[in-house]
This record gives sequence, structure tokens and C-alpha cells, in this order.
Amino acid sequence: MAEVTIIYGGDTRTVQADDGAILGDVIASSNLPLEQPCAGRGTCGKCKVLVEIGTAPADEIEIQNLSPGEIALNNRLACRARVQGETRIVLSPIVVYSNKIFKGSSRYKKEKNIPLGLAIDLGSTTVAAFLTTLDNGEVASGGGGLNQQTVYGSDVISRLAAAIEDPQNKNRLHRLALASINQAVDSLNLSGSTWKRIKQVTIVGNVAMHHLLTELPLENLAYIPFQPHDPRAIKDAAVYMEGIFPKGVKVSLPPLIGGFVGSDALACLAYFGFDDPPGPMAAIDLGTNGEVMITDGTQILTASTAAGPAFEGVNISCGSRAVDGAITKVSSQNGDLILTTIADAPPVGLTGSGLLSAIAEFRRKGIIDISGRITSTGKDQEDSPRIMLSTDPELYLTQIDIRELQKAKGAIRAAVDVLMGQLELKPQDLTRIILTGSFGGEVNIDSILELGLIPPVKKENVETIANGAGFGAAIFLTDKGFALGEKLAQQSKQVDLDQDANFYDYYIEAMKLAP
Amino acid sequence: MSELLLKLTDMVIEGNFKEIAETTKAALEDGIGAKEILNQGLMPGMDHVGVEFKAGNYFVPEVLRSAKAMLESMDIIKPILAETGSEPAGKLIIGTVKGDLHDIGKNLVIMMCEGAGFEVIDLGKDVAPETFVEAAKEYQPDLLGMSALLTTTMLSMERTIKALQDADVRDKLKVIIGGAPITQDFAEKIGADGYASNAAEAKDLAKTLTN
Repeated sequence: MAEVTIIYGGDTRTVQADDGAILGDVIASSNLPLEQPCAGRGTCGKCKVLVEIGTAPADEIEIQNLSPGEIALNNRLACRARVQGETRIVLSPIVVYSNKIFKGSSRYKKEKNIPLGLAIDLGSTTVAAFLTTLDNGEVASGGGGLNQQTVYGSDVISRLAAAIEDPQNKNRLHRLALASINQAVDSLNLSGSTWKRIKQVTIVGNVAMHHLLTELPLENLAYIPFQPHDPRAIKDAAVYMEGIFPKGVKVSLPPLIGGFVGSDALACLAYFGFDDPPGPMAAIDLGTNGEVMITDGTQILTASTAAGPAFEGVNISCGSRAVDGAITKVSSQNGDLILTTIADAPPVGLTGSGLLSAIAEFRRKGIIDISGRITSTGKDQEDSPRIMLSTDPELYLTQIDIRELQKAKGAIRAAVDVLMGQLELKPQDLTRIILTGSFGGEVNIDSILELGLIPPVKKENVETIANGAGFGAAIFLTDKGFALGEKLAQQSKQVDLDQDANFYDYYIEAMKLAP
Repeated sequence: MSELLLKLTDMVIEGNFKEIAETTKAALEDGIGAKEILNQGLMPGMDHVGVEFKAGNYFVPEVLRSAKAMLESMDIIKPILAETGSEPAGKLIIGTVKGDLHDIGKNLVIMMCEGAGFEVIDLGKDVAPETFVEAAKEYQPDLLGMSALLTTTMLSMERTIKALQDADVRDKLKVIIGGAPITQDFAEKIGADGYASNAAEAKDLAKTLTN
């Protein structure tokens, strides 16, 4: 008999198993979640676990179905690996996003001498990888998956807390970050000959992601003053990679800006041209941790703001992630509500953009007033006001849902207003506003303007760009691009929002649902 | 019931902070006592605001306006209440814990509790366990409230409770906690007396624990 310890975020279970028992069966007996859709054939890769100690060496089939990076990290297929001696493993959700697959130029397939690079956006929710041709910085393809660190909480603060509480967790979060990078790179399906051409990897992320990846001290970031331990660029970061990339591949981490504003925001600045702006402009990365970047043409100010998960469709009664049937837009025709869904499937719930669009539509109809309150005409029952989206009894918006959106919206807008105030900019001064982030790339600009998520500007000055951080990371792959990143980091200042005397008033004002 | 008292209640609900001072003075001139103004004019208004806030019908901006109206009126009656030796509903010391700077939630709790007649001493933000202990000794409150927005800083609550025990003041007061990452389970685990998920509930909890 051997003792098998299974760690799933904060949940640790120990079970007894015979030497030689299949790891997947042992995990199942612990009642912790493990998907094994291919039933042990070793082909689907959904049951990957990280082994800390124990287990017998992998057999041929298992090795064939693991990438070199995964083998380096001691990832194993639970459906085939066998217990040997005291064993300790870490579970994580294996999710590859099909809607993150991105196809760009295929020039690299024809011109086989062009060196290649990998640009990686290590987001707290999504990790994306982009294959890039190094001669011109063009992105050839992209893919991504869920950040496996989410077992320690969907917000970065929970993960910092887990890492501070227990050094073993800190190391686990480091390895889960690497496993997530592996998973994102794996989704690109690179051939052996393509791998040989990869010379350079650049990884960007917010400050928490960066520090968890590199196992830097976290105390400065998790408590006052909420600043990075060390914001400087790490030009040779291969030492932190545990061998997940082939020998000889250079890995670099661009500098951080400050506070929670990291190299992902820096990458956005580079990609959106903040080094040479046409005039005052703003960029907003809409996510659980929102980032706001504004320049008056010379200075660049940045801030991070805790918007919470409403934009991801989380904590909303009928909220949904971007799956088939998720509602992305709500409009009206002849008085009837029209729900636009992903893949035109029957509606299952609201995404972040669907939520914004729904609330904007109900504002237009007067069912929600400027304070966010559901007016009597919209009420279904007097004691629990809700607005039905269709005849489906499960599809509705409650008063509390609207409040969640108002808080998220208020946090973003207040950050924008604080930075605009410090730069003495008026809305009409802004020549360009860019919305980015996994949600910002697909949002409805009319609703954003009508609800006042951004300052009142002309619609043609607002644009949405998906993958800003990933494409910016691709710029940092060359020496010249990396130098641009370092220059932008020096030029940019991070603002602590709660140190601004006006923040509180702006936040309260920004909760109203109007331009 | 005097029409002026009903009017004061409405003014708190509407957040009419510009005219409430005048109406308060008119009520006093009419011979209505300061205590009556508080208990039958202002408090029913804030009660209503609390109920509607819990249901999501009122939101932070509305609560702030109402609280502002209440405070405008309180400024006038407070000196009279002090002269007449009128007892508050209870005494609460409150602060955002060490390492944390987020205080909007804490400020809402203060407004709700003041609206319910509590005397509240605000220790501010980034309050260390020893500061809570000193304040507990100095003010001898019925309640001690702690707020935290971050999963990392909420751990300071446990340290504060431990410090209160070490200083032999833990048994002399009730500890209530709140903030985004806090749960009832966490409150029980660290030995707090109560948890509330929003400011209106915190006020209800304060009333229950001091009764």
C-alpha cells in the first residue's frame, strides 16, 4: 500500500492505494474531479495532472501523448500513470478554448528560414500563445486555454493569499502557470520542424501573474503598498521555465509598470502605439482586473481597477461564459426583444457584452431608470423586481444583477475619470479610445457609450481590438521591440486610485446609467 | 404623529440634504424633542433606506444621499441630545484592517449604524490589531467592527481577535466583520460574533447583538 496525496486548490485529500494502481482510479476514489473522456486510451489529454513525487515511469503511449514541455514539468496522464511509493499530485482543470484559435499569416510555412518566436499572454483567466515571425513581428497563429491556477480562486488576490499562506502552494502556482503556458502553446499544434525554428519566447502578464510565475516575494504586492517586489525586465528568464521550452530558446519577461499594472498593459501600450500617439488617447482592458491607460500625447498614466467578474458573466443570475447559446446582444424589433446568441443556438444566458447590451436596451425602453432601478412598469412581481428576457423562466435580470454591473462599470469609469483629471483632459480631447481584453474585443460600442462606461466621445473614435496584450508581446520578441517596451515602462506612471482625492466622488457618480 | 416628523422621514428617504436642516429647526421650534426627531423622524427614514438597499432597490449613491441628509439633521440635534443625556443605541468602534485601504463598505456601515442611533467611532483604514485593542480599552464599546476587501488582508481579523483576547478585552465586546471575501464560515472559524454581507445587514446585526 502507498499513500497518495491529491491537491486540488485548497482541498487536499489522502487515500491509500496499491502500488501499480492506475492514478485516475485513485483520484476518482477521492471524489475529486477528474475528466477522463477517452477512457484511458491516453489520447485526449484531459486527465493531465502534475506529479510532485511518486508514480512509475511513463510507458510509450503516455510519452507519445505528452509534449516535451509537459514531460519536463512532470505532467502525467492520470488514466495511464501508475502509483509507485508515496505519491503526491496536483489536479487542475484542462480547458482549451476553441474560440481563441486565431489564424494569421501563413508565410512562415513557405519561407522556412524565417526564425520564429512565441508571444504569451499569461492572463489570470485565459492564457494565450501566439506564433510570430521574428523578421517582421507578424502573428501567424494563436490559441489559448484556461489558466489552471483558477483552482486557487478566479481572482488574483485569492491566489496570492494561498501562496503566502504556504510555500508549497507558491511552488504549485508557479508550476500551474507553466502548465497553462504549455497548454496554450500546445493548442497551436506546432510541428517538430516549426519548434526547431523557435528562438525567442516573451511572456507578459499582470504583476500577480508575473510574480507567481517567477516565485518572487509577494508581500509587497498583497498588502500595502501593493507594489511589485521588482518591476525590472528579466532578459534571461529561461531559469524560471523548468525546461518546458527546448534548450537554446531565449525567454524574456518585459518590465512591469507598477501596482498591479504589469507587462500585459505595457504590451497594449506598444501595440496601440502609445509611444507615438496621434494625440490624447485611452485604452481600456476590460476584465475582472480592469486596466486603464491614458496619454495626453506626452505623459502616460495607467491604473488597475477592481471591476469584479460581472463583465465575464459571473455573479449574474443568468450569466454565462462565451459558450454556444450565450446571449451577446439584446435588441428590439416591433416591441419584441431579439436575443442574439453565439452559434445562433437557443439562449442559455448572458455574456458580459450581452449584459451590457440588455441593460442599455432596457434603459432605452425606460424599464430601468438612470439610477439603475427597475421601474414599476418593468416589474414582474412587486416584492422581487426582475425583467424577463424571454418566455424561458430561467432567463431574467434581477435588480441585484443590475447593481453588479453598476459596480463594475463604476470602477472602470472612475479610473478613467481619475486619470483624465490628472492629465487635465476633457472627453472631447480624446482622439481614440480602444477597448481590449477577452471581453473588450467584442463589446457593443453603442451600449458602452449609452451606459457611460467610457466618457462621452464620438462613436467613430471608439474601437475594439481583441488580443491587444498578446499582439503587443509579439512586438517585444525582437531586441528593438524589447527596448521599446523598456522605454514605455519608464515613460508610464501607475496611479493609485484611492490616493486621488476625487476617486470616491467619481466612483459614486459613475454608477449612474447614462453617458 | 406630527406632520413635521413624517416630513423628516421622507426627507431622509429622498436624500433631501439641502432642506432638512431647516425642517429640523422648525420641528424643534414646534416643541418636538430632539430624541423624538431622532427616533420617530430620522431613524424610520434610514430603516426604510436599509430595507430597500438590501433588496437592491436603492443603491450606494441613494444611501449616501440619505445618510448625508440624516447627518445634516443630526448636526443640529446632537448638542441637544448630549445636554439631555440621551443614551445611544450602542457604541461601535470600526475600521478597515491592517494592510487594506478599501473603506467604501465600512463607511456605508457607519452611516447605517449612525442612522440607527449608534454612536460610532471610526478608526479609519489600515488599522493594526494593537490600534483596535487600544481603542477598545479607551472607548469601551459594545461592538467592534472590522472590514476587509482582500483575501490577503482578511487574515488580519484573526490576529486582531487574538490581540483582543491577549489584552483581556475580547469578552467585553462583540466582534462583527464584513467585506467582499468574508463568509459566515470564516467568521465562525476566527471566533467573531457575527458576519453581515452588506451595510444594512450589519446594522441589523449590531442591533441584535446589543439587545
